[in-house]
Amino acid sequence: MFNPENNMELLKNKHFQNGKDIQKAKAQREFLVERESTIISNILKAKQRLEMKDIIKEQLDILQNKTQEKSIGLFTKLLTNMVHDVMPKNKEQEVHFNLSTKRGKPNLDIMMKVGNNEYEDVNSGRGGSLTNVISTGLRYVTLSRTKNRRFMLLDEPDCWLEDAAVPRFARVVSDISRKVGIQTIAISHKNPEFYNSRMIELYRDNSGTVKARVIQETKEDEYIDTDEYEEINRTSLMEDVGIKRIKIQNYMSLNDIDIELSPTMNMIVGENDIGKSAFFSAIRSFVENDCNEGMIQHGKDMFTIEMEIEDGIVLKLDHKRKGQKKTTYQMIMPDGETISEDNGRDVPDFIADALAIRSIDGINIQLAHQKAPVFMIGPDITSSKRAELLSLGRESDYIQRMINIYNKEVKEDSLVLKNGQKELEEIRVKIESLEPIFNLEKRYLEVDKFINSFFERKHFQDRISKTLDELEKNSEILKNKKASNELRVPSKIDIDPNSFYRVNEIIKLGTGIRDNLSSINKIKTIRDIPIPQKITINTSIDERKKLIEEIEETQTRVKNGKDKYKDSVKLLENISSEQESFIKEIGGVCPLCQNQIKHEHNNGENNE
Amino acid sequence: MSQDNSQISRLEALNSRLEKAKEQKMRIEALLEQVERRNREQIDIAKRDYLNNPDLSDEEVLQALRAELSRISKENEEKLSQYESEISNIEARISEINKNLNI
Repeated sequence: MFNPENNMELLKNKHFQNGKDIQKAKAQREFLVERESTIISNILKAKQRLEMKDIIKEQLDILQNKTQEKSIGLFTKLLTNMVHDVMPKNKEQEVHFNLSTKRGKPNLDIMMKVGNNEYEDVNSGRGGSLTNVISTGLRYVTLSRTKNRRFMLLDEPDCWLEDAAVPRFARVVSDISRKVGIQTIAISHKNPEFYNSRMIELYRDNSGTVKARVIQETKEDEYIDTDEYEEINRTSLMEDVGIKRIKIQNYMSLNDIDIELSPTMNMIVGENDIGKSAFFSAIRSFVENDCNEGMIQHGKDMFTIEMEIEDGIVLKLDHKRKGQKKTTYQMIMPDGETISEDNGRDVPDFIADALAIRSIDGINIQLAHQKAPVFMIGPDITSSKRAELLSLGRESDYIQRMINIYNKEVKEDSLVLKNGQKELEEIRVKIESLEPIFNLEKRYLEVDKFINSFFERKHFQDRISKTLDELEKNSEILKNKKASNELRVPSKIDIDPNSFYRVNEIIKLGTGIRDNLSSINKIKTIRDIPIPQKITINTSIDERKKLIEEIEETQTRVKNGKDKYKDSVKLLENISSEQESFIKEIGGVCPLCQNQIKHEHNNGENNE
Repeated sequence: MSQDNSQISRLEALNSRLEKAKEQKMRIEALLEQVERRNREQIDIAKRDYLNNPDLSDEEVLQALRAELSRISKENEEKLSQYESEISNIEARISEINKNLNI
């Protein structure tokens, strides 16, 4: 009988693996089709971009030029206006920025345009007035380009100005401070009344202690040029730009200074040697951690400087005369809690970040020192550094980066075109070679159906086989039914003891008859008794003796035979009559064999 | 007389055996009937469920069942062989596809 179940597990494993491989191939094909679509799309996009290449490059170049022109235009206009306002005799001249690129970096030279295509170095052969004006203007412009705190400290910015120009300069600086939104503290040895500012006087009280007081407030109505700003907003906008309050204790000549600053222009005034420069020095000490024992007032152990910034936060510096850690910076919250503290040699980050008055590449834009009034236009700063400080190259740099990125993209697009076509061809070959997988899947599913139905079919086969076995067995059994039907069990035999007696009698009778008949037969053999040979002369003695014996025996046997014969005949006559009556009695049928009893008389012989 | 008694005893024994034989015959007949009934049922099932031919005689049912069994067995064998070969073919084809892909 066919029994495939043993092979079935092996087949199923193979089939299962086929299924997995087919799914894998299908997934691969799907991936390739998707990849094909992506490549086609990429090629299309790359083609479109490349078609626009020349136009885009041209537009980026135009944008680059315009951006540079715009930045430079704004600055030169501001500086030129300052020059014109402060020094009206220079009305025919313009500040000119010459921006160029050297070694991929922007370079800036600041010139005065004195005629048609005629330029002069701003520093050479020009008076100190122009230097004062342009340096101060450049500080404001440069600070406005940074993320530093909007705070400016000007120590005698008008030192080189001719007296006649000072009022105009003071007005311009006050205006710029407001318009650009930069809190300014200035010291001037000229008449401070020229500046529209909060005027803070350092003075010595009766005990000789140097203190500070506001002696004049800013005259808001003196600002005429309000085209660009609305007064109400200007004040609120500027509230948080600078430093709200400065407190100095025991720093050089300053015993106990507590100044609330205006968010716009502040002038520090006072008699000579009262400590105006010490005030500036104190701020520099704080900003740069530039402290030494000589700064501590005579007879005191330490000096303290506090600056209150927005949200009521106070930044504090202590410098002690003695001790391992002489300098301590602290950040104190409005509730008095110190949240940061540091004793290091540098300005700690929490102070630098909160105060945000940082040097840029070693140049401090915000703390203009009296002894270095030239800013950005001196020989100490290179053209590239100048451009960098003014961030003039920033926009230009952004656009250059855009151009670089675009050039890279163009290169990539060209590669996409070149490689994409090649990859596309390869992928298409692969996809084509994967096409038969769908037909294979159909075939796989057919096999799957077969495997699923296999055991069902096997079960059906087993059922038929079982039924057939049973039917064949039953058929054999049922053959016996015929034999069973034919089988007749005889009915019970009735027993009559008399009949048995009679039968026995008859049997005896029969036996007697048989014996007699035997005797008769024997008698019949008398005929066959041999007659001894005649004795002759030649017969020997021994033979004669033997013959005599034989004759004698024969005579005896004959005699006996005659007697038996007589008896038998008599007996036979009796038996015959008995037999006759018995046969009649039993109806002529043998009780043993049920056959008809027959008798015949044959030469006096009677057989049963 | 003693010979008679012996014969009577033999007859009685014979009668007892006859009784037993009768009982056995009856049991056999009952069993055979049961077998016959069961046989009938099986034949009916075979005709209805397996052969779908109610007109067959009992003997024909047996022959038809033998033929059907042989047919199914052969068919199963053929199908298994066929699908065995099909599975191998699919396997070979997948292998060929994968080989082509790696190129």
